[in-house]
Amino acid sequence: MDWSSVFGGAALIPLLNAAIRLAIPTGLAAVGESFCQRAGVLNLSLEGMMLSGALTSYLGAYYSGSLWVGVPAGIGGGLLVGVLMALFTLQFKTEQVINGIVLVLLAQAGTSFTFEKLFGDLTLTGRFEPMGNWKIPGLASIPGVGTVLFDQSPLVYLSVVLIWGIWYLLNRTTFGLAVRAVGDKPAAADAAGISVYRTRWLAILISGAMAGLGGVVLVIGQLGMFMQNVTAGRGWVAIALVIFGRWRPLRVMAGALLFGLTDAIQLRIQAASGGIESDVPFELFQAMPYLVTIAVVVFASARARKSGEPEALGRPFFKGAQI
Amino acid sequence: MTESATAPGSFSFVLSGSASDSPTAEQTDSVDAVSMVGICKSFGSLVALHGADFQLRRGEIHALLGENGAGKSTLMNILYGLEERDQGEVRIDGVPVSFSTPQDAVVKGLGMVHQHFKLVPRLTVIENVLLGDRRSRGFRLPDLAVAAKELEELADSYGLPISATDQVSGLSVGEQQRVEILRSLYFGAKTLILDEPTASLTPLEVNQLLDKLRGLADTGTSIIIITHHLDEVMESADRVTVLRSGLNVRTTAAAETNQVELAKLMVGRDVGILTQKNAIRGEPLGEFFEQDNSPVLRLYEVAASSHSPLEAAAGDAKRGLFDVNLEVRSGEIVAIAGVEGNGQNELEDVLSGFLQVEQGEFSIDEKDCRTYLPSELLKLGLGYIPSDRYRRGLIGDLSVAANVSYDRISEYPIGTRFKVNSKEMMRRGGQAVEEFSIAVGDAGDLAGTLSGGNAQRVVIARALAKELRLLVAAQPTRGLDVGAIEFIWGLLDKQRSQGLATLLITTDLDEVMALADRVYVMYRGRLTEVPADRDLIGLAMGGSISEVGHSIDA
Repeated sequence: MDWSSVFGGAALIPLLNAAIRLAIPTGLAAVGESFCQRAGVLNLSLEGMMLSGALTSYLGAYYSGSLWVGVPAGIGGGLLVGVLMALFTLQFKTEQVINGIVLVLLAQAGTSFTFEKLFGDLTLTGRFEPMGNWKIPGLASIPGVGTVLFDQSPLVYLSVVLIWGIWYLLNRTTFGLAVRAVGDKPAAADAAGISVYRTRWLAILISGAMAGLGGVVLVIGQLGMFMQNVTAGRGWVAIALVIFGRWRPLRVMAGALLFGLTDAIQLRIQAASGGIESDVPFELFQAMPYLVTIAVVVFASARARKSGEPEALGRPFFKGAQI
Repeated sequence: MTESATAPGSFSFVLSGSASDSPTAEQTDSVDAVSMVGICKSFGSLVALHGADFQLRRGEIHALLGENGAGKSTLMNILYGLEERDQGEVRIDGVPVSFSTPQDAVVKGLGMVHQHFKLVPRLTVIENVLLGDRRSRGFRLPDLAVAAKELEELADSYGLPISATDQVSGLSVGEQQRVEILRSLYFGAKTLILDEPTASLTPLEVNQLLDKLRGLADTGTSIIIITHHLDEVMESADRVTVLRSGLNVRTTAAAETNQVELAKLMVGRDVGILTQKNAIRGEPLGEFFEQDNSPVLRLYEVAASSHSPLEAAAGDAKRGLFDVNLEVRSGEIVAIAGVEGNGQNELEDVLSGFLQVEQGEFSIDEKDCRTYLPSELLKLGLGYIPSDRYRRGLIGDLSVAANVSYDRISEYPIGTRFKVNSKEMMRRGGQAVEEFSIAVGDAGDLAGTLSGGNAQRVVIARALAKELRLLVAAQPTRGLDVGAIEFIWGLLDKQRSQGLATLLITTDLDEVMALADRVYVMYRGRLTEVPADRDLIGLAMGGSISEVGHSIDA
């Protein structure tokens, strides 16, 4: 096997470029999730939000014929699951973990069902060309860095802005302060006149929009198609990355980049080892990013499990309660 | 609710004699900072307040006294907009007001420091202050460094210095309270309501707090202290209002009353524990020492921590027990005094089998108990009164009778392995209700409906329902009213005189002084034996004299 085609000088720049591209869907979902968890809601429906967003963005793009229509459509798909999550969790105050898992199952079955009903097995004819890259004039011509950072899909640029926006929202605004307070000690936030209910609603919706956009980037920006379970567990990885990043959006994004890099590497190893023809089953390579995630999260958890975790994570708030 | 609804025939007289002690403008001198007249409030069929009155003069410290359920919290919650009144009138500086949220009250110059602080531990001091700031409701947070500096300047001007960029979780309880007071002042409070402000402070911190409050009152802030600590009332308050069963029994100048009278007003009868305070502390029974000198409970160089080993290895802040040596013998009450959070929970958990000893020895009647489960310890003759009576002491969805017996549910005659004899259980429940004066309609009623004092009586009834070797009583009277305290102290004393070995874990110095034969102070996970002297215990609670133990041993 020719390792230089994976790590070699000429291969390095495309590898890093791909790492960023592949990191974005998971990163969007993970950063949104970190925001939601800081508000004290353990949103396990993330995978469902991504899947739902992936399908609706595909439908939007397919039927309108415009890739850009797929963007708001996909965000809407994520929001849809977010609304359900918020209703169950905040309105009916049912168990958050169960809500999340149920919604993932619902989204998995619902998207497969809808897609099959609409397209049968015409997955191949339903394919379209994913959104092309925008080279940022000037910046893209910087050797090396320019190609890695500034020769990307416009969706990638949008995502980076939004990820930074989440960081800003959390750390530099009154709403972010309210989110942090609500996640750590809702009773104190309530006493300060902050609506725990409203804050958590918004946090869940933000998480839904971000995860939905993750689905958009996957479908519109990378694959140009939808298939059953297209997100392949990225939502679950994103939840693990939140723990890895200790609930801080930018650290969470760093974790996502690591995931993207592993993914990019395994794709190249797959290709270099001969793809489907190879003696080594390609599924083994596909499992790599997930294995790395497990290893990294276990390591991160072992260090100090509780540090950074919002105190009220996963606990419903009842007005008048002390905790 | 109508603003003008007044109580029948009880329009308050306007105080005119207070001009000398108030430096503010003349026209406001005669107007009370707060005036509440004829306040009524019911929760369902329970009447919390029937026509209570309360007047707060400008610049005074006014203690609001009463047993649990007397209505003092409800009255203050109404004043602060946490609850709405059914009837009555509230005036601030003479102007009728009606608050539906605390934020309305804050705008009118009220501030409340709750017993359980409403601070977010993970945020800094300044972030906590900005969190509730109605004035800066913009989208962007103001520059934290600038805001912090402003707050620090304000703090200095009140003589309450604080570092505004520190995270609240790193502050002591006293400092957190200071942050709460400052937050109110920052929002422009002219009247402060403090709910049980001394409950979790060391005696030294209590004195400091009362000094600061006096300073604030002297500069024109009016202060209400909700409390049931009579000595603090006498020490700090200008006037006292006593509430009983939703009515104010009396408002009087503190100088014109005394603790015995106040206790009588609160409870409605003479209270033994206060009139003959140390009489309850009986002599240790010599005969038990002669018969059997070996300790019932023995801890030797015990170390334990509530952290997982991984966390401990990561060098997180150390919590737990270190080198704890302790012996409790028949016929004595050994008290563990100390400020909350210094390892008392871990000690309680070790003794009740919830936490494993990592090092050292733990035995009851010379049986090695290091690996015993809670159930096995109970079988050895441990009686356990947990500090968190609702979480660990009661099952709210079960009847009182079931709660009295559930630790022996499979023991004849209450039941067998397969079946519960509910008749026998009910009989015993009824017995306990009578013997422990549990105020409940029927032993079949759900335990979850009980008030604090009655809940604790159920917990104690269960603990004492069998032959005991050792009683571990953690915070047995916390939050209870004088009547219940008197009852429980009497029980503990009686058990001692019958030869029971008792370990009393408490943060209440009065309780230590009233009951303990020997006293240890717990500070940062270590025990120090201290003579039963209020001042020495107080100092050791703050960590000032951890060496006393050594000098005594030597």
